[in-house]
Amino acid sequence: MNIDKIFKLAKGYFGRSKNCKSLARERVEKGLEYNYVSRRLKKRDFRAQWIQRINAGTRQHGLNYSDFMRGLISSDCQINRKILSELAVTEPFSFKALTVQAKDQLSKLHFKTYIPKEDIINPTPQVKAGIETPTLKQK
Amino acid sequence: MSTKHIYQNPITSAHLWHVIDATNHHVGSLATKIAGLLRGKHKPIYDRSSPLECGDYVVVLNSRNIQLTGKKWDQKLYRRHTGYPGGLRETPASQMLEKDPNHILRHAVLGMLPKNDSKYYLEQRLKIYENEKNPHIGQISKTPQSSLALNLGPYEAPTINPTNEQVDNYFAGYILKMDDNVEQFSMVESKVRDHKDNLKRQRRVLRKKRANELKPINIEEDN
Repeated sequence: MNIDKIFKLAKGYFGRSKNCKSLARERVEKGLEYNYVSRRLKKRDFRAQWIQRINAGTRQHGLNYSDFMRGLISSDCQINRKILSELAVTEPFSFKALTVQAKDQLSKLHFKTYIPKEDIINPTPQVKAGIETPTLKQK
Repeated sequence: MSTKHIYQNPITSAHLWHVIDATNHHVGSLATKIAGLLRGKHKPIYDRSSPLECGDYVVVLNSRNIQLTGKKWDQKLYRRHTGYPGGLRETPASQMLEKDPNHILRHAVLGMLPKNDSKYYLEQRLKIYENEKNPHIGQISKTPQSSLALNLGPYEAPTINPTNEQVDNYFAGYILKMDDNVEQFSMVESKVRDHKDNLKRQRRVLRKKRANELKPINIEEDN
């Protein structure tokens, strides 16, 4: 890399690593590695934070996080975790409506599955995916 | 919504005060609750990077009446080292209760907090007292009231009222012939529990054998 670019990136670094050529090159290369890693970690960390916030919101209404998500997913609610966490922080009443929806759906589901109770008592006959073998025409 | 906007608003980010009466509570289960409250994990504005801003204050009263399960009063040891050779000092929990009852709960809570610099500041927000007197009433009355504030009373044992289906599931495969006495019921229950433990032990041995962790030996059935 051009040395001018390196000094531009090394602004504000500690000690001699902002002034010396060889030290600045080392520090900048290592810093760019950290950049690369943290761009990936950012997605995981934010998702973890959203989940922690949703969990705190649902526990006010007597629900677990996992039960809450199970109820929402099986009722085909397509709100992602980012928006759910924002609802938990800013709009507690609309978040409460979602927990009510999840509780209703959970009462219809079978224990620890996404399958409704009725399907287990009266199972629909499973139809095998019939793949028709192509018949070759022989001359 | 970024966390900066939340903490600028004093209504959302005000520190709450929780008052807990520790009589007959078990140490570990109470400490998990307290550690969560100190970090603010019960709030939807919880942020891992700023535990001091979303954490709360906790006041614990009657720490002398706290309980440990099993034989821990005799067997559990609180260790410290003076720094000199041979300077290991051990005090069992029963002596620690007479010496410093606050230390038992404080030690349990500090072990459950994250191991970094915030631990020191979160510790200062935990106020434990031996007796029933609460010196923080004036401060608590000034803070805004919230439904999130936890005011726990003394411990109440949970009452279990199982339905007939749950009882049938528990005693599945057994024929029940007993009177409606407490003694009869406990005898049958303990017999079932022993049998289930035995089955679990056998399954564990088989699993280890399958993974070639055990040397090939003849497994004797304990019957």
